[in-house]
Amino acid sequence: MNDSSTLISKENLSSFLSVLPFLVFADNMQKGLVFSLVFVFALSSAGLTSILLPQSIDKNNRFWLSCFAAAAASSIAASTLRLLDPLLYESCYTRIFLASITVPVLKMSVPLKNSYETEKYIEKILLALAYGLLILIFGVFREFLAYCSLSTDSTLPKIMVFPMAGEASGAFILLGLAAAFVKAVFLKNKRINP
Amino acid sequence: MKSAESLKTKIITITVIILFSGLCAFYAYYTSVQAELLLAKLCDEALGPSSRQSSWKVIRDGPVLASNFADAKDLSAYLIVIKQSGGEYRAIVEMDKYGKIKKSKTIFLNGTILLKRLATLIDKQAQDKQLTDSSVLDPIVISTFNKTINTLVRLEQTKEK
Repeated sequence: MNDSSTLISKENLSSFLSVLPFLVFADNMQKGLVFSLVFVFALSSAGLTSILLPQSIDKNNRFWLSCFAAAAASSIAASTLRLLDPLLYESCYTRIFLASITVPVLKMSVPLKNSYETEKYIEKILLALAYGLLILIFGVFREFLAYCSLSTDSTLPKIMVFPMAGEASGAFILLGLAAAFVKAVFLKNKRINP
Repeated sequence: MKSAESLKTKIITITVIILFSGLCAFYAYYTSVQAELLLAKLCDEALGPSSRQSSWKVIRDGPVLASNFADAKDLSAYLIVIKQSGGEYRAIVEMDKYGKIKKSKTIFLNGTILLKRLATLIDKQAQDKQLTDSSVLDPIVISTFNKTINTLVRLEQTKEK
């Protein structure tokens, strides 16, 4: 569906860059899962509000209302996390609200102009869900690299094998390597199918 | 006619926003109360049976996350959370009114050798043992250690006032 040039477009790059802080903050599986769920929750709230709001409300107001829905969803998600695990909330709460101002969520808040845009809208949803999945996968990967094990129980003591993977600097190095790998794959594909 | 409809829509929109904001605020307040109770349970369980009343308050002051000033023996307890090099150290320390650590209990230690050394330093401070041993890691962790102790002493002094 998407070739390399459309996938690495300026538009997608801005979306990816706005999700980047979550990739850095998600230093283990638990945080990855939290940020991923909050992101998807905020995104679906914005999308649903944008679609379900009556047409009598003008587009500007529909956009702001959808943004408000995303912020409210982030707030509800943060409060629920606080109820479930107060200590995990303390290490995540400053970053959770970023979800409502990421580019994919803002894009989802923009109301549809006409029914022809539905296909584009579905594409936007799929891409945004892929970002959510990416946050989770990155968290899992970093925890596995740092501890050589995975666990959902945060209270279990574990020995760090590769501490850098758990740090922000390690996250940037891993992202750089991943970007180089993706670019290499696309360049190879381009050479095979010019 | 159209302006009346537009006004009606605006009123409904603003009402919905206010209602939702109120609901979110109420839910956040409810969860903060519940979270403090959960935190109190966790800390009380870690400290063991005592005359302490479960009145932990989240204060978020540097490495100190929560405090409990209610104790019959004039001891205050603090929950400290220190993150370093991707790891995390959580402990509960009890202090007397002179700012001296009386007891410390590690509830979670996950990470590098640096945090383990920090935990050892705090434990030794509580056991009133002289720090006769030294480690090559001390210069790295000593600033965090001093910052933690200073924050605890400051909080204790503030409580006295």
